[in-house]
Amino acid sequence: MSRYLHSKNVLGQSLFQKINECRVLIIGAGGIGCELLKNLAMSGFLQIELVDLDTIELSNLNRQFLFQKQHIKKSKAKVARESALNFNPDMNIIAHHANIKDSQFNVEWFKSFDIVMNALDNLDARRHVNMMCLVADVPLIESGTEGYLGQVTVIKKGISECYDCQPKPLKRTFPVCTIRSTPSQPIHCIEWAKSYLFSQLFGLPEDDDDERLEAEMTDENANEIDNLRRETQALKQIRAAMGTLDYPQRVFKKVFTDDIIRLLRMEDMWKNRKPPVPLIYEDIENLVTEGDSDLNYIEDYNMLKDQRIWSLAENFVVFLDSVRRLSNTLLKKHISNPNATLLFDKDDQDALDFVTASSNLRSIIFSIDVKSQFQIKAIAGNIIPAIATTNAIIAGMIVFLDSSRRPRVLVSESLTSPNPECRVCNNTHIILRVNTRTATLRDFLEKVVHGQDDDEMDINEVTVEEGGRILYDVEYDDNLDSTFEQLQITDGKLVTVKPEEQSTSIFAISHRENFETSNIWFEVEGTPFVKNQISHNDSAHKRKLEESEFDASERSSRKRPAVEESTVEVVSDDETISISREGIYEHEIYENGIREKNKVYNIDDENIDKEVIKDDKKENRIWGIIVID
Amino acid sequence: MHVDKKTQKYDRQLRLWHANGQTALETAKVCLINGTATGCEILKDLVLPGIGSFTVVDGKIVDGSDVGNTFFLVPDSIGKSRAEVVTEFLQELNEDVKGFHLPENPIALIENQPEYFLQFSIVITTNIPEKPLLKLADTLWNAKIPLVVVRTVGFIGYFRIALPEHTIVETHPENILDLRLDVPFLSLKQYVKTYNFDTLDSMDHGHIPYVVILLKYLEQWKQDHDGKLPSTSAERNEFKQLIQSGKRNADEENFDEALSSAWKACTATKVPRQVEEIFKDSSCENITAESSNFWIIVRAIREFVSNEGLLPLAGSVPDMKAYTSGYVAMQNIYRQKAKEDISIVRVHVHDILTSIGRSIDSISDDEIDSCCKHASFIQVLRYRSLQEEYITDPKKSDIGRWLRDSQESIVNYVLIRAMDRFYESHNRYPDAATFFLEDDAEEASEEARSEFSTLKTYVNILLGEWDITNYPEHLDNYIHEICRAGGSELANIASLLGGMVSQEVIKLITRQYIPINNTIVFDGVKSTSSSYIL
Repeated sequence: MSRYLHSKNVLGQSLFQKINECRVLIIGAGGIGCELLKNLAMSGFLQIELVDLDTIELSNLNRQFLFQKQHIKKSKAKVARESALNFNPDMNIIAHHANIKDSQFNVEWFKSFDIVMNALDNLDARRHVNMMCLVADVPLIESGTEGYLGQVTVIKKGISECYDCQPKPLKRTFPVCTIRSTPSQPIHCIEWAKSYLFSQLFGLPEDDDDERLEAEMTDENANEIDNLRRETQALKQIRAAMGTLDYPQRVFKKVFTDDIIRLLRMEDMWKNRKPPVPLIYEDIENLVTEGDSDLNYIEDYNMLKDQRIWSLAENFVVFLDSVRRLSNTLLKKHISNPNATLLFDKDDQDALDFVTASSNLRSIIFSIDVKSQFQIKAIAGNIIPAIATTNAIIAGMIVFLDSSRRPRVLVSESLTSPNPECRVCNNTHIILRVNTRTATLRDFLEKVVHGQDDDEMDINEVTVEEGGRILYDVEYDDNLDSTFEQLQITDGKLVTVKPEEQSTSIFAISHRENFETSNIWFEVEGTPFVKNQISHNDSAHKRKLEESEFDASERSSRKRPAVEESTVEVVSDDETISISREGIYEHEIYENGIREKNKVYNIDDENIDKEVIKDDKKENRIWGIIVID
Repeated sequence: MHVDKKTQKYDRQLRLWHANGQTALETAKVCLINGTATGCEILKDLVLPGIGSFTVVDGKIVDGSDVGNTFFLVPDSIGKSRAEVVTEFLQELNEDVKGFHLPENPIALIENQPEYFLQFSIVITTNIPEKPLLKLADTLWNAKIPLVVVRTVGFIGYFRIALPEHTIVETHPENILDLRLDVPFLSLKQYVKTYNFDTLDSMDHGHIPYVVILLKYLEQWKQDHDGKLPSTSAERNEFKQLIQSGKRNADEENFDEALSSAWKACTATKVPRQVEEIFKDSSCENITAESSNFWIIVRAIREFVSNEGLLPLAGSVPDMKAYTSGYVAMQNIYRQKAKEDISIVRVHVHDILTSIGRSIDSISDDEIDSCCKHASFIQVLRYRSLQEEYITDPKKSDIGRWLRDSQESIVNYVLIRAMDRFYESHNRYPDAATFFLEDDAEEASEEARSEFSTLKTYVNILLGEWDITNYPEHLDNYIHEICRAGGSELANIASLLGGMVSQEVIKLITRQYIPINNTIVFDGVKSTSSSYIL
């Protein structure tokens, strides 16, 4: 019997064929990703690309079944691919051990997929993929699990809500003085140990501590902020002694004795609070040498050890030892890279020991509840419980999606329309193909932004940003003559242009090396600043209306036209040239066409609107081509 | 120092069911009958979190279609014992788990040696026909071993749990808050008296724990209202205004916390109805030497309630705006009272144990503590047996009612039952799949029509047995779909069902969280699932 008999029986021949040919991108090879890869493989999906930047950890093995002990520290994407191919060698899986935000994953690459599936574990990457899929107009299936709960939804530009249509809860933050001077809850001490002490001792030496302190300075706390700044400086000096025998002891005395004694002198601070009690190194050392009975944990490899609360002496011993261990690790790294630093990682036992012991010692000083390592790990690492069962259900749901009226265990809801106020999906998304090595910001503003609008958009009224930094506004024109490359606007970057009145446009940059020689400066796909563009807007809007009237099946059959249909005809006076929309063949053809003929093209507008922009001054020069979506 | 590997490996799930749940899992012996695609998915999701052992009973030899829908199987597996190869692959997923296999026909085994299955802590069956299933169900029911019956065909998934009784202490409710604001105990009352709101400076006033604020104003309210709590919504608003009037400035978060919990303070603390029902249960009434620990502790708690009027205090206090010292003091008061309550319950437990001739340390203090702490949320599930469902007491009128609603998934259950009847007389499942393949399901051939009408006959027989006279029109589509599937298992439905079933199995084994009662039907065409008590 054939391997695919079951699938063919149930799905039918033609649907099964479609599935075979469908190009799928899976982002994340973790709990959901592993299950998803298996389910897609078993359902007959054969063309899969998989991206994950992580390596395999022991704590993954309770659910990520494509990985085993011998794979620890290897690339998740690569091992997942190998394991899956063992089971189904027919598949064509391309694995990338990389960050999905890397420039190689530009919008053209996203566009090459029929569907994108998120199996991610963090907000930042989810937002990025959401944006790229909106720009590329590729459907995205977004999913997540937490303990026994999970969810799946479909994001399709203009039809359903995007990931950012609903505001996401913000991460909890604490005032710097609470963390540094007046902690009152375990989480304050954990935050201090993880974000302050760890990074001061082992992280980037020039961190933003000063800035953070500055930002929170008020009239009342100016004095204390000043003290804190000095405290950090003093700690930095101690750091220079890293690797010496008494280094752990010096750190201990600094942060658990001297700094606390200094705090105690701020009498006002303790009027309404219980004053802290500094720890005395020698006293605890005596306790340890006298043989604290609780210290037997060192031999006792009891399963519940990390769920037990450690005594003062235990915290003391673990603190000194973990400082020693982390110092050694860092110094070893310095041999190959003098600027190496350590990052807190909840699954790194040394770092976790350090944070547990330091935060508990601080808790003891401030009469705060002491926590077990198990609890501290959850708080410091933002741990989300995770099990195989829920991932299996959710991954299963990703492959079958629909909605209904009376659900029970699996609650399904109808997809909600996009939020008209959403600042992410309500923008216009444009692909800008340009030679980033030669094009300058001025070119971009004058030819693309200004030239786009019939009313001649005033470039004095726009702000240009990339990744949160401002590149240009009316009062900041320093970058105008820098090239895109000099400004680090390379392949895959998203440039935001905010006019004062019209809607924001997001330009996804796609580098075109050949444009330099071809006399073409840029090519735009999409209509920027849509809201104010009456002529373009009308037709674009009309098209959208028509589209929304299709029923689901019609839409899906239209979604991916065969290759011939996606080819547009560009007709010159005496020549017809075919261009694929997929971004693969264009420049060759343009290059030939333009170099040889130097003429303005007539556009055969059967499938797609195209508009050629001519340079007013030089008759024969073509500024660019706009493909109107 | 190193945390042992096991804790590290299971870290993410220990956060759900803790060490006691993990221990239960690691001592569980799971039996799977038939290593089908769905069966393998279920075991995969149980082997990964670390069950003690599993045994696959399966007499089948692997063929090409098994390789097509079971991820673990490779073309080389064809021709080998399915029990053996799936065990080998499943075993590789987790070295902590022991895997066994028995390459025997399970139907014959059930027929000749049903006591074989009594060694397991739970038995999961996939694709077992009606007759042997009922015999197995009987055997396990009498031994109080949970049975999970699983079926997948085409886009349809089904599973059913059967077990005489399942008691749960750790149901993991979202919130186990029990503050006794309406009926403060003595030490709490005394603590509240130590606060004189009027003399506190603004710093201290802004740090009064909200529990104290509520108790203070509730006391005042009761004095003015013959000792009664605010009951109508008008009274509750009035009570809120009373609290509001005590707020000195807009920044006092502790007063905001008090206001947002004011409704809670007005709700009378009492024994929840479902716990009262459990107290009345005959297992609670008649404690014998055979009674489980659960029932002995619950009986002890009942004694406690009949003396004290309320359940033992849970003893936890939520986070709130307060000085650390004030918060800790209050926490200690609640903890202390909870400890006192537990020690009274413990005495009752020991009395009961002595009276039935068991040693007083045969129930651990931890078990008593946990039951007292979760007393408001304990659950007792009593399942219906397959015997009742199939023979002695089918839910005729419910099925008839559900069938009339075309949105219900019950129709899939009817189809699975009819499919079993088909199997019983033909020794194969209805299969028109090959007749559809060529022109993609539109034009059914003569053979396909014949399969369709045979299956429809069995559907009608079943409906007749259930006294359902109106044949629901939408049934025809489903019959067609089952014939088209030809008994096929779709890998993806298998995976989804595997996740759902293993999730319930973990709940049953760990005795944590509340499992489904008793049937789930998943309809992959509509992507809906429904639960039914059948």
